[in-house]
Amino acid sequence: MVKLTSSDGESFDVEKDVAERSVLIKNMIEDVGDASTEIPIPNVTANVLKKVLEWCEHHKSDPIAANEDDTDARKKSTDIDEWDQKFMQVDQEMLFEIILAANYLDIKALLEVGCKTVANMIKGKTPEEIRRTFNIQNDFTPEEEAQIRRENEWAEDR
Amino acid sequence: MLLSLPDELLLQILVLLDLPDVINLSLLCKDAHTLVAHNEALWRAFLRQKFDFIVFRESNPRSPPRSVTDLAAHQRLLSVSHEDHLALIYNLHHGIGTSAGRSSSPTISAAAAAATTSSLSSSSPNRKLASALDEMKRRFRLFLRNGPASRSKYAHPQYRLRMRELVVSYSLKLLREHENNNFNVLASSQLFSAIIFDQLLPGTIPALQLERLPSAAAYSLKPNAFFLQQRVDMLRLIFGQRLACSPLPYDLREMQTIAYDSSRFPLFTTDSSASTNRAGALSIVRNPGPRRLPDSAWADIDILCDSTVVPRFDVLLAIINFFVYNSDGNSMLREGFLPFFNTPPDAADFNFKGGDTFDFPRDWTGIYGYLAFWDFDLLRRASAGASHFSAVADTRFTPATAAPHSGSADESEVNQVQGTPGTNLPPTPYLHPSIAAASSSSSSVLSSTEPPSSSQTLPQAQWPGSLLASVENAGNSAPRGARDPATVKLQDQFDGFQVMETDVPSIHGPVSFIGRGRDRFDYVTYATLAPFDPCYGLSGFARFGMRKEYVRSEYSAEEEDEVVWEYNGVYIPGPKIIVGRWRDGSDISQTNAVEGPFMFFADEL
Repeated sequence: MVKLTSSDGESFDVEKDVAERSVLIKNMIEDVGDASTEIPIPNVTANVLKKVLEWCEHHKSDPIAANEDDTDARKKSTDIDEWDQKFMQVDQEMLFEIILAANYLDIKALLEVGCKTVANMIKGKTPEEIRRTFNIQNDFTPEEEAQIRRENEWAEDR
Repeated sequence: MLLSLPDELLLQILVLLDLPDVINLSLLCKDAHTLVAHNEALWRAFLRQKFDFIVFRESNPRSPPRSVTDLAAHQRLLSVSHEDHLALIYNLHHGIGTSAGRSSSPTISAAAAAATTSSLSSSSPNRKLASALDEMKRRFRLFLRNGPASRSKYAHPQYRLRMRELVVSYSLKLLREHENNNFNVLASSQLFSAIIFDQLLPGTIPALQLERLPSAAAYSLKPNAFFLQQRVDMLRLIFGQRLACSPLPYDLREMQTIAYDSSRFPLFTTDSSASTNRAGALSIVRNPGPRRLPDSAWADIDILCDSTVVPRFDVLLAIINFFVYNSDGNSMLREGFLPFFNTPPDAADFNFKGGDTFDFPRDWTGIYGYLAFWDFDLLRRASAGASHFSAVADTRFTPATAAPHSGSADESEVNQVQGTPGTNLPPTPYLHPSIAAASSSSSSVLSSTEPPSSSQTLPQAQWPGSLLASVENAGNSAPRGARDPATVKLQDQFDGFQVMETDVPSIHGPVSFIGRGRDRFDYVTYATLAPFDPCYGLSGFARFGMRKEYVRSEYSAEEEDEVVWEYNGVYIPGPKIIVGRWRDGSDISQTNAVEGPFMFFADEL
């Protein structure tokens, strides 16, 4: 077992193979040479770490990609398996926290799932719908917006 | 929250999107627009994805490149027309550019194309040919009446990426379909003409894109005079296009050969002792190789039976005029092209016979594309292992028998491509001798700068030191005169020129003029326009040659080498654009030179 401590001081006892889904933690364990040493995770709060560990637990048996490029094809699809889809049904704040945590902890597969989830929230939506989804304020003047649209003419069918 | 994510995470999300979604993101707010519109990494990633998808299995750059056999199995990728091929590429990520919207299903379009071809082949060859020519002329006139091109559309910085994408995709297409996975001189000779005439100019002719001149076998053994005449016309168009766009006149001057056909044997030569056949004013070397055809079938060389590389016949009408009608018969090749290899020809050599006067726009903005070293490397990898004899090996690429590339950056190969700039500049086609005098007489215009001098050294384009840097460079014009591509912003990139003369040239004969411009540094351009005679009643076209040199005083002493870019193309009066090929004029070896298509737009629109 490995003991992880979140940024807000909460400790989690985790199976070593679960914790080692994180490359960062795996390296830290190797560095200290003692799995019983408490490992601080200063950039991740307890509620987010708990969620991340839940994902790691579920995916602990997944084969780890030999190298990054092997996952290219998978990366380019925005398909997400059913369990991960449900897992990512959280509020936006938590979603982005998970993405940041996955990036920090170097859990590539989780980061991919997070990015795909966000991409799917954008795909096929109009600018206004995207603004509503992410609570973004339109600060363009009508003239500026028209200019941007002209800039984008190149991408339109001719 | 979305926009506050770190850049690398945002990029990871953005590359999962399709182009329309990315465009929509740019409309969200100012921050989002900045993030998307000027995010070179994002656009490079898009490009890279498409490239990888085509070349590598599972889009994994570390996987073995697809073989010809593999590709043959991917009929979706191969058995499609030009247009659908691009549509397919674009649709991989739901579309950058023109073709995506027109053909959402390449497979379906390919089937439709096949059906059309089948239908055409069953009709009378003569009627078909005559009809095609009439349609060609009709469309050409429509094309000219369309008026100026939309500069706002084409001058957008991202369009440069699209042009570059075309360069890459066409390279791959030719690599596979013509070169048996051995990308060599032939592919590069066809590449830029294909891009220029098939894709960059609006108003393509789908029917003609599917057209192929039938082989002699398709006709009776005694083809009638009408057919033969039409065939000669078609030949002239195609040959003219080849001559206009081929880089070979530069690459193979020691062989006195100025163009090759797709069977890899010389078609045109300046060597009068060569065994030649005649078609109009063109000297044509009979195909001497194992694929030699009967004399009576000399017209059936691949370029006529090639349904893949299809020239833009409409624009070619003007170009071929230069090579056939605007010449003094047989003297065309001797007097028009031999000077290429010795001294810059006088514009008067073009044998201008008079025509309509037209005004040449003063301000021009340009875009261009090129293959980066990164692309060369990938192409070499794709060709590695293929065994294919080439009569003329392109020294820019590893021979086909080379060991497969390891997949990592190979410094020796990169160095091979980079070459060493020479001290003597190559002759500049179409550069009027009076340019030198004009240059000195315009010293007042250049008073704030030091006139360029061939005895002085100017900075050489600094190519990235690694393949990675080369990739970083993709999609902008950084290689061209930029010392540190990583520091060059898109908005700093500029190509084009402003004619310096007080009066905009009114062209009624060959004319030379000086222009100026600035990208990272000031530069001077020396250009010559040589109007074509009217062809098929159309006038206003001109052969365009330009040399671009940086003004030395702009550079620091640490820069020692010279930067010279040469442009050769055709001025097209309707849309007021100039299309053609640019190349590194400072590479005396003529084999390692950087080159690519360019397109200038009149800025007065």
